[in-house]
Amino acid sequence: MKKILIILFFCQLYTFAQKHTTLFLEAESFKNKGGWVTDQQFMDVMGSTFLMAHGMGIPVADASTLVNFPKTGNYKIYVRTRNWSSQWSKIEAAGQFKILIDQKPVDKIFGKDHANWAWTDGGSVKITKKETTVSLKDLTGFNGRCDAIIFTNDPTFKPIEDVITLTDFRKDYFGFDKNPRDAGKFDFVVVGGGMAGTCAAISAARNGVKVALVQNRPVLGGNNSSEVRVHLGGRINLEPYPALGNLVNEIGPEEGGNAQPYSYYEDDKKLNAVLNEPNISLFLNHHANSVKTNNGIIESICATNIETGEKVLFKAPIFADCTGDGTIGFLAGAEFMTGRESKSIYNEPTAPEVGDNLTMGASVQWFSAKKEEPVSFPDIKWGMEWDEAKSEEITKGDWEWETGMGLDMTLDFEQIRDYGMLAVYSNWSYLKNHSTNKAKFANESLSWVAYIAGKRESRRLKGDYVLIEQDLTERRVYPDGTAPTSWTIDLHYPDPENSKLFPGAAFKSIAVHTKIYPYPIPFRCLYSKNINNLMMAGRDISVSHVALGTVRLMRTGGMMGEVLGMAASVCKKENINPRGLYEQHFDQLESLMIKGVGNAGLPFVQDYNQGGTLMEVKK
Amino acid sequence: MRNTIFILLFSSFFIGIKEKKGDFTVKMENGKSFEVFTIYDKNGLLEKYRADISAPVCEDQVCYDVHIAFNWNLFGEFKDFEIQKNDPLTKLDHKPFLSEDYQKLQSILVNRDLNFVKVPANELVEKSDKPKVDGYSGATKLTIKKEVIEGALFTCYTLWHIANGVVVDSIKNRTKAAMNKSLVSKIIGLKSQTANYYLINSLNKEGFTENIDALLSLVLESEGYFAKNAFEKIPEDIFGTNSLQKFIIKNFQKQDYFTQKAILQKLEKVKHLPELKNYLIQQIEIHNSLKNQQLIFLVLKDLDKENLQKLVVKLNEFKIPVSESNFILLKKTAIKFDLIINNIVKL
Repeated sequence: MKKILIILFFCQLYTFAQKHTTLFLEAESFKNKGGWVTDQQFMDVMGSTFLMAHGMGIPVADASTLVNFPKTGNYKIYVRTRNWSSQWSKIEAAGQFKILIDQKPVDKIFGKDHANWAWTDGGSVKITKKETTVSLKDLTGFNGRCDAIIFTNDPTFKPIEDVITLTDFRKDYFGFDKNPRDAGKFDFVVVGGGMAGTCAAISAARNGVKVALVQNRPVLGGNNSSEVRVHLGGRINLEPYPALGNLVNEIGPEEGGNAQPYSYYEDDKKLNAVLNEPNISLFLNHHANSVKTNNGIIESICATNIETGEKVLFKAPIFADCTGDGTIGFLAGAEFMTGRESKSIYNEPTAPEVGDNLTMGASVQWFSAKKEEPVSFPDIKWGMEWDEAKSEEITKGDWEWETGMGLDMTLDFEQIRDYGMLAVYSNWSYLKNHSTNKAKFANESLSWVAYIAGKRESRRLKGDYVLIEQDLTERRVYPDGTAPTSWTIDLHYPDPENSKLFPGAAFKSIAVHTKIYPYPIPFRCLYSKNINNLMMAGRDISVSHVALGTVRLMRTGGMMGEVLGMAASVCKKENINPRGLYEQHFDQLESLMIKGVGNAGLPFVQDYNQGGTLMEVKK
Repeated sequence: MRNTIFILLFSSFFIGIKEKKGDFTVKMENGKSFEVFTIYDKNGLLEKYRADISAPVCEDQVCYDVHIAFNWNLFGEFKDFEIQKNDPLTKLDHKPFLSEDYQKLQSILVNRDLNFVKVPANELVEKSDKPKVDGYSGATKLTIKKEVIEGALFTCYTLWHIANGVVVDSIKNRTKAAMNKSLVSKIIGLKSQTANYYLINSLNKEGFTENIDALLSLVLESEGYFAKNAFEKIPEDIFGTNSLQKFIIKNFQKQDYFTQKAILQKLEKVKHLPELKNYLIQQIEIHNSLKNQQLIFLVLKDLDKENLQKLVVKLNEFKIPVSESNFILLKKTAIKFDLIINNIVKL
C-alpha cells in the first residue's frame, strides 16, 4: 500500500512537472501473487527481485495488483523479463506469460524475445479507469519471469537497460534509499538465516546480546528449509566441547532425507525458536546488499525488503556473515578466496597443481508423486536433446543433481539454477512422452522441483587462519579449536558418466570422501582478517577449498553459529572485537563452549546423516 | 569372497553345538532365546563369542525359520555369520540368497548407522499407496530400499536386531568380568580404537593401577581424542604417583591442547612433585586461555616461597593476565610468605 502511495506521489510530480505520467510497478510488490513465487537469488546481478511462474509444467494462478493511474488514456507498456531457456535452445521459450489489464490481455506474449534481462516493448494499452487491475497470466508453467512493468504516456520515454543506471532510477523513483528505515540499536547483526545464522542469533540472544537476524527468504533454515530440502549432516555433541550442538538438536528437524515432503524440514520449529527469543529482532525477506565501512570496521549494513523494496539500516558493533556467499564480507572489502587453490599455496595433497575456478555445485532437487490416474507432462521443445541413454528412470533427484561446477556461484547463479531445472524438465518430459518405459511413469506427477538451489560453495572469507587439509588429516589441533567438524572431506566433481553424455555441462556430480577424526575448527577461521568487527559461520569461513569439503555440513555450520553467538557476548562484555577476544579473552569463550547454549535435556534426534568419521566412540 | 568362506566353514560348528547349553542365554524380543558360547584362544584367553540363531522371519506373510550362526568380538561388535550350505537364507519369493546378497547382509549387520533399523517393524512397509502430505508417497519405503536386500527386508531387520541387540551388553559384561592382565595385554595388542576405548571404559581402579604402563604407552601412540579420554578415565589417585607425574613432565608437550587440559584437571587434587611444580611454571603462556588459568591455579596449590617468587617474576615479566579467582589465591599465598606483589595483570 505504501508503495502504491509513493507511486502515486511520483505520478503526481510527473504529471504536474511534465504533463506526462510514467508508472513503475515492481512485480514482487503485487498484492496478490497468485501462484507466482518471489525470487531474489540474483538481485545483486540483475538488479531486482522478480516474480516467477514455477508451475512445473502447469500454468500457475494469476498474480495481480490494483494500480492507480492519475489519468486514463493510452499508455505504452514495457515489461522487464527474459527468455531463460534460449541460452540452451532456440526452439520456443520455456516461460511465457501475458499481461492482463482489468482481465483483458494485451496482445504481446512476454518471456520469449530476448535471452538477457531487458525491457520488452508490449505496445500500447488503453487505460479506461483510474483504478485498474494489472495481472500476470502464466501461459506455460515453466518459470516465466517478470521483474517490473512500466506504463508511460511520455512519447520520449525509453526504459533503462543498464542495470546500475536502472538501479539508480529505481532508487530515485521509490525514494527508499534517501531515507532508509533505521532498524534500531543492536549489539550484533547476523546476516543469513540458514542453520549457521539462526544458531548464531539464538546463541547470542541467550547470552544476553541484542540481535538482529536478517534473512533474504520468507523462511529460516537455508539449505535445510522446505525451499531447498537438504537434510542436516555431520555430528554434534563431540569432543572437545560436547555441549556444542545442543542448539542444533533443539531446532533441527527430527527426520532426515533429501528431497522429501515439506513437513520433513520443520520450518516452523526454527522460526518459533527464533520468535521465542526476546533478544532477537527477526527481519525475514530482507536482502542485505550494501555495507558502510570505515577503517576496516563495518559501521552499518543496509538491506532491501525483497517484496516492497524498502531499505532498512542496521548498526551494531559486531556483525556476522552467515550468508554462505560471504556477501557482507565481499561488500565490506574483506579478503576472500574462491575456486580451488593450487598445491603451491598450502601444499595440500588433494589440491590441483594449478589452481582453477572449480567449485562444488548447487543442487536442484526434485521428486514426483504417484497419482491414481495417468498424468500428462508437456512434451517440451525447448529442453535439451534427450534419448534413452540420457534418460534417468527415477522419481527423485537427490543431492547429486548438482550443477554449476566451474561457473561463478554469485555472478552466474541464475544460469546455474536454470540449467538444473532444465535438466529436470528435459528428463521428465522424455520419461513421460518418449521413453520406452514411459508406461512405468504414466501415473507419476512431477510434484516438487526446487527453485531455490542449494549451494555448497561460494566465496570463503579469509580469517587470521586458513584451515587446510593437513590440519584435518594430520590432526593439527589448535588451542583455539571450537566447533568440531566430523564429516569426511567430501569434495564433489562432475560425474564422469554424465559428463560424457553432456560434455562440459554435467548436471550430476560424484563425491570423493576422505575420513577424518572430528576436528575443532580454530576460532581464527571464524572472523575476518581485515574487517575487524566481522565474524562468519557456515560455508563462507576461512578454509581452503579442500577443507571446505568437511566444514560445509549444516550441523557443523550450526555449531559454528553457536560459537559466534557466544563470541558476540564476550565481545559485548569486554567491548572488544573478535581478534581481541582471541588474543585476550579466549578463556571466556572456552567457558561458554563448555557450558553450551542449547537445551541439553531434549532427546537426541540428530541421528540421521551423521556421516563417516574415524572416531567410533561418541562422547 | 568372505561370505563364501562363511558358508564353507559353517556346518561342523552348527552340528557340534546345536544342542549344547551355552555360557549364557540371550532373550529376544519375540520371547525366544539363544545360547551364546565363549570361544577361547590357544592360550586360554577370550577370543570371541558365537551363537546358533534360529529365528522366525515373515516376508509379506510368508514365514520361515532363519538358521544362522553369529560371531561377535570381545566387545560385542558383530563380526560375521555362517550359514548351512543346505539351508540358505531366502528372499520373498523363496529364492535363495545369492553371493552378493550374503555380502550385503554382512555389510548391513556390521553397520550401526542404518536408518531402517530405527523404524518400528510395523512401519517398515507403506500400508497404502495413497499420496501422503505434499502429494508424495512411498518416501520412507524408498529410503529403506537403499539400505536393505530387496525381498529380504524383514530378514535384514530381524537379524540386525539380534546381532546388535541386548547381546552386545551381555558380551561386554562377560569380557569385563574376565578381565585380567593377560587379557588386557591381548586387547591392547589388537590395536583397535574400539578395543582401546573398551579398556578405559571397563577397567576398575585396580585394573588401571595394574596396567598403567601399558595404557600410557597406548596413549602415546593413540589417535583422535583417545589420549584425552584416557586421562579423563584414569583414576585421580594414580595422578599422585611419581611415575605418572614424571610421565607428564616427559610427554605433556606432545599432547594436544585439550588433552593437556584434561591432564591438568586431574592434577588439581593430588600433591605435586617439586619438579612437576617447576615444570608447570614453565608451561604458563603469555596467551590467555583456560589452560593458562588452570596452570596458574595448579602452580599456586601448595606453593613454596621460592616457586612463588618464580611465578610472580614470570607473571610480571610477560604481563600474563590472571583470573579473579587465581588472583585471590595468589594474594593469599603472598600474604602467607610475607611477600608484596604488584603489577599483576588481572583479567
